[in-house]
Amino acid sequence: MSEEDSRSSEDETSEDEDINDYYNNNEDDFIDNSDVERGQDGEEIMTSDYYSSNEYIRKRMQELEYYDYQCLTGTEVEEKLAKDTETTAELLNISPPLAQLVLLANKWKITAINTRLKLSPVERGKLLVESGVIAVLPSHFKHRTEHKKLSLKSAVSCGVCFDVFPVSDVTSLSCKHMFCRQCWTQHIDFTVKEGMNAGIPCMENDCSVLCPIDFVEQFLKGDSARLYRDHLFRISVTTHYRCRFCPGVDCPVVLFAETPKPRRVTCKRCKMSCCFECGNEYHVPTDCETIKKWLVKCADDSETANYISANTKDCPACHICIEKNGGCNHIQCSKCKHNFCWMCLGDWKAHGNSYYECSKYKENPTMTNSSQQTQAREALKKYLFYFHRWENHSQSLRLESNARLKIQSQIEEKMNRSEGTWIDWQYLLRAGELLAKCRNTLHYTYPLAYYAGGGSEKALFEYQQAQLEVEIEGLAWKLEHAGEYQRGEVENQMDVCEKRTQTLLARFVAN
Amino acid sequence: MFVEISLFDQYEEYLDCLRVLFFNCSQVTSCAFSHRFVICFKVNVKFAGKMAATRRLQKEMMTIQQSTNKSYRFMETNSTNLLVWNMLIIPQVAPYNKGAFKIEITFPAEYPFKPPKITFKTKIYHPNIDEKGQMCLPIISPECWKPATKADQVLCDLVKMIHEPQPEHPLRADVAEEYSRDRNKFNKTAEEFTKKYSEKRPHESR
Repeated sequence: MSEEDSRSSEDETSEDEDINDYYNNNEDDFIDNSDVERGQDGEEIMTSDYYSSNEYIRKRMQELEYYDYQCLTGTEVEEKLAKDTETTAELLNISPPLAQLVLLANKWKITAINTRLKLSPVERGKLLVESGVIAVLPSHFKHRTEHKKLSLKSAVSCGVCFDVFPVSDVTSLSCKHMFCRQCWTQHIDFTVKEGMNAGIPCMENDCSVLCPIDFVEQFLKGDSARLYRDHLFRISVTTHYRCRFCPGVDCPVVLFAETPKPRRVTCKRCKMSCCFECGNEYHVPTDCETIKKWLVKCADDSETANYISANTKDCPACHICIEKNGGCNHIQCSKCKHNFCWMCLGDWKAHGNSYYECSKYKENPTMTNSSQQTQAREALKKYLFYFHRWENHSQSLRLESNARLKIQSQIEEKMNRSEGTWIDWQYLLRAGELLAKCRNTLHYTYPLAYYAGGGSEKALFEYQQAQLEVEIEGLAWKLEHAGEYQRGEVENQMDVCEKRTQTLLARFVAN
Repeated sequence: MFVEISLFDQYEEYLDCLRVLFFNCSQVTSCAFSHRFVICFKVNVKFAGKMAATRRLQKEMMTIQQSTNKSYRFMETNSTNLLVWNMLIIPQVAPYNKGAFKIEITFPAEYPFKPPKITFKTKIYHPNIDEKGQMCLPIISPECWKPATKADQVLCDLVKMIHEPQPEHPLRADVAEEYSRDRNKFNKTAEEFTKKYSEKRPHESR
């Protein structure tokens, strides 16, 4: 801790500090963290040095940053899908259109299908029934076909339009439910137009056999056939565990990864990025499950939250109403020049060092044995605490993305006034990008903190979160007041921010 | 889209049938062509769908009228429009067996490729039927609907749901809770509702 204090005091006094010094200081910081870990978790004494070493962090960050994925076009994906279909057809000894049904039902996981086949000989039949290829297991099938063969001699009544047709005009899937060609055409046409999300099933009540592509295409022509192909492609990609559509609006790119993981993927065409595993905005360090829960909760409860939290806050010193227009949470009242924190409305003086506690939620210790109503209120309070911080940072992210555009014009202005060259001011842009990246991580630590259990793990996490937050706000302040700070100062701050983010993230990649 | 349909046999019968069902007379024109009749009429796609729907519905109506199931029957005041059926549900099980319930089944023009809709016109105290008379019947939900499902199967499912409420998938949570927690109270309220709002049961002779 003392290292921390000395560093921040150095920060104020000496302006032209060597960057290398900072690196050294940072290494001290990491040892500092390991002290905390050691203090609370006695068992980790042997390994904690390694876990907080720069080498370990670098390795973990490499895992996080360099994710192997491709951006594919529609035709490239179709080639891959066709290859998968061929393999499965051979594996199961069925035609490719039927193999496609099996794949669609099994997320295109060929290895999973293969392991299931090896389990027992019955599995093949079960797999085909589950995928909608056949209606019943082959052993039960004999009786039914014999029964149907008799009726083939006479004319057949269609079960949908109730008209009677010669045998040549009716057709069926493997389940032998006979319907006339006209009804099949209409049924397929309607289902395709509705989006056919669950495939195109047989028309009989309670029959789960699905139409394979070759069966469907004999009834479709023109626009409907094209629509069918489009839907089939869309469904194939969305079910495929290695594929994900680019989240960009109207972007046709398909993101493809050999080993699906919750990592950031960015489309090379439209530059939109998302988490590969769940398709939401990239949310490290929180996992996909938690972020889904959090987003649902926010959608459900945000009305209450919106109602309770107003858009503005009063200055704690002079009580003038303040609307935040920048991302930084270190606010200086424009009227009375009072410095305070937007989150807790406390004096900013208490926030500048390691005593930064604004990101920790303090559970009320007397709460445990109070009434249900108080507990509910306390739960809402806890949720709102994290929700406010979550909202706050997403607002900051929005405002700062606007600010980045302004930086560009500021740089041009400075160049026109011949204050340095283009290259001299690039650090501002880099700082803006880094700020966004770090704040994004910080943003997503709040859902994690909300769902995290207690104990030393959480204490350490909250400590790291608080440390990161104070540095991020520092960087945001320096960037917003770029004129008052030297390049060296901003770059030092950037470095600290990045290191802190990495320390926090490294733990979660390891888990 | 215009459809030209030529009929050589039973023309008169067919023309009457069409007029009654859904066409204005002006839309059905006839002209003599040698010794045979040819009808040309302009039909848009919706009418074409409607025709297939009504053909099937006519047959289905017949089956239901001949069926021996006592739990449902057509109202005497059933509309002439084949796409809307007014029916009477006559439950056989307490607490609903003291009355009858009016329902309206609406078939879309795309029937049987799209499911019918059912609404209760009589107030009923039931966990799966809301105050507006709407209900959630899986067999006619758009996801589960199959073109080969017949109206009498739908009606059987509906009667079954009335006889055995499903509090796990309620439309009225309060009623569902009462049904699972305090069956006596539920039965009493449902019976009172039946007495107060339901229709008179038709005579059993048929």
